[in-house]
Amino acid sequence: MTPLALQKLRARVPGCELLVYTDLQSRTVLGSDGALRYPQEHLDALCLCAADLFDVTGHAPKGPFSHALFFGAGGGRGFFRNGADPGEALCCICALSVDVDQLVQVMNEALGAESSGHE
Amino acid sequence: MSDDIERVKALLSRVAADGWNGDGEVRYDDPAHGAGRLVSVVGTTLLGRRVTVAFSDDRRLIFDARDRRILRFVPPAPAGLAPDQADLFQTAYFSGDAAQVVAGMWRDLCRQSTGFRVSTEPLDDAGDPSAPGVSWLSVSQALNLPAPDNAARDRTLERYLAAADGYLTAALIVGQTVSSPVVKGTRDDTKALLDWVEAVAPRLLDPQFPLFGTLETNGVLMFAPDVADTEHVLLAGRLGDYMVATFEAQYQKAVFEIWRDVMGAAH
Repeated sequence: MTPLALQKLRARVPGCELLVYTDLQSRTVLGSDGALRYPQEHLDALCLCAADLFDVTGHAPKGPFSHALFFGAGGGRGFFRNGADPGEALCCICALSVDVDQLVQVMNEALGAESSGHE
Repeated sequence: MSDDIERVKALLSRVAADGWNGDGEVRYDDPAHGAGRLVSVVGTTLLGRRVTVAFSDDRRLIFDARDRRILRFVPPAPAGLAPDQADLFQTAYFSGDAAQVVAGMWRDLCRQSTGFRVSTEPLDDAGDPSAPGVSWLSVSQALNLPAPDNAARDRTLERYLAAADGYLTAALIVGQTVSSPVVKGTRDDTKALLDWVEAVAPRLLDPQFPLFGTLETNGVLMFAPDVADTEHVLLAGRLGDYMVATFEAQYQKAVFEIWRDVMGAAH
């Protein structure tokens, strides 16, 4: 997913402040786009969090999860696994006011398009 | 934390087997002990429930409860009650003034029996939401029972559960200060929740897990399964207490927005 694609994708979700595309297996950041310039450590931390989360939920009954949403009083994070390539995922930092259904729909559409583009 | 997980697993196992979160049949030699257990039943009833108590002497007591309060007693009254106790069954909604009479009735019922079994079902019509009812604490005080250890704890998670009740399939609250966890859900729903808790919760609630700090203090994690028509799972934390729940995918936004309104505003 190119930086431009990430930029366009982030613009589609009001309240999405940072978007990171990650390789879960190597635990590396493949690309990012943010409202602010986030330090690399911040991006790496989000990537590691996604990897841990999908690793943990990989042990869940009825299989792994396609996405997870995490919120605290100050805002949230979304983690969306690429169904066609489960080793990759989109992660985002978003405002508490985000429309979660819209967030999930837009991210899943983007991952679907990304998978199609690879084929 | 591992103790909490073990408690959750034990509780869910019991619900999965028996269909409710009690201890099965309650036995007592001391009527005060039996009455105290009835107080505990009310003290664990947050969502609207019709509670049926079947005593060992074949008498049955039915009442509606919500928010740890008895809203009304459902006729017919058990045989042999004193007139003021039987009058409670003719009262649509009563106030805290009735606590002494309720306590006396429960003590009398337990005096003439050696045990009871409780069953509950969701209450379709909880009646007037402003009806004060009789709180478990006032009945507990009328029975001169020791103050419950969770009487003054933070109730934000419980408010969230009550607000989101209509969207949740199964739910449970457990934690460091919860002596009486709250449960909703059928046997199968609860079994699914148990499976998830056993497989996943210990790792999410490990202090080494990156999201643990916020999750423990005031956070929520919602998981969407890969498999279609499989329910989402929610894990919410508040000051060391936790709520685990399942809900259908279509309610994701509603369940989150209620969390945001109730929990996100809490400090």
